[in-house]
Amino acid sequence: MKGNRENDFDAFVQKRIKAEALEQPPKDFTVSVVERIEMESKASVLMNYKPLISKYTWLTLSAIILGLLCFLVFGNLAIETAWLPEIAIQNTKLLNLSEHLPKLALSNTYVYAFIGLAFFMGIQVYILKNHFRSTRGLL
Amino acid sequence: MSLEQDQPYIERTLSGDMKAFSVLVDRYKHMVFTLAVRMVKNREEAEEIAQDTFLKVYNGLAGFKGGSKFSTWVYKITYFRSLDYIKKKGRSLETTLIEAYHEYDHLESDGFVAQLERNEQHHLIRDALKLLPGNDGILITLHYFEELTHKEISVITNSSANTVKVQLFRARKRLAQILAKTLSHEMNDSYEGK
Repeated sequence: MKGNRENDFDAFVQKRIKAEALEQPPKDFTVSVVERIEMESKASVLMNYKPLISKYTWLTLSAIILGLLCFLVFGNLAIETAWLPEIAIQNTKLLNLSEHLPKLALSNTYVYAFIGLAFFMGIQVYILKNHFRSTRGLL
Repeated sequence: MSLEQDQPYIERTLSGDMKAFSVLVDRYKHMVFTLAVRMVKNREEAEEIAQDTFLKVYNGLAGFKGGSKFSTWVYKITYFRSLDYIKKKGRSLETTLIEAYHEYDHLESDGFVAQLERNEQHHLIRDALKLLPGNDGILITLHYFEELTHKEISVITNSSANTVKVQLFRARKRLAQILAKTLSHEMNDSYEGK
């Protein structure tokens, strides 16, 4: 009996809720949504961060520098430098460049501190860049 | 609406066709707006939530893999956008003590449904739903209007099917209570009118 009453109530609610229909959103709702999406996609294009030097360029430059370093360290320079005129080599010897350079006496503490500072500066730049990118993205 | 009916429009939207997305918005805007109204009980705020919902749907469309119906996914976003909005505004989801509704079970009284059937008030259920606390209105709408099962509703609210079953049982009792009050007010008014 109780089950019947509950079923009757269910049937009544279902019938009336469908008859009364849903809430009506404003007439221009769809247009507003589409306009908002278009506006936000335009804004994201304008705000989109594009680095001055692309990742591809950085990779190419890194590869070139790494290649040169490897060549200098492991390459056979004796053959490659044979084309240099002997006179030029003699002139550079005469200049004694190392003697003209000022001699800096740096303590180990100073060197370590400098390396540490440079390391943390590098990290800070990366963190700040990401921070500003994320906060700008929220606007 | 089945996923097969929505899929062509989803694919067209993903390829940049905004008209296809407009079709999807037109298809679900009434339910999304209604669910938001049921949660925040305010049309202006509900409109904001509904717009945010469709914006999120558009931005997340590429991530929709079709694990559930498109409508279920959209309603889930609506539900959680509404909760976020309520939280952002520093409000809490309105709840009512169950005991408050246990004074008398109208569903057990004879002639209650017949009395309701005789009532010709145009927005009888809609007005009653506005008075329901918390997410009761959403549960009632999804179950009776959209005819979703407990399991389907549980996907939307991120809870278990059993929890939804219990919540719906209580929501139905509260609805009956509100409807009974409406009827008694109308009867009093008609006596006073005589």
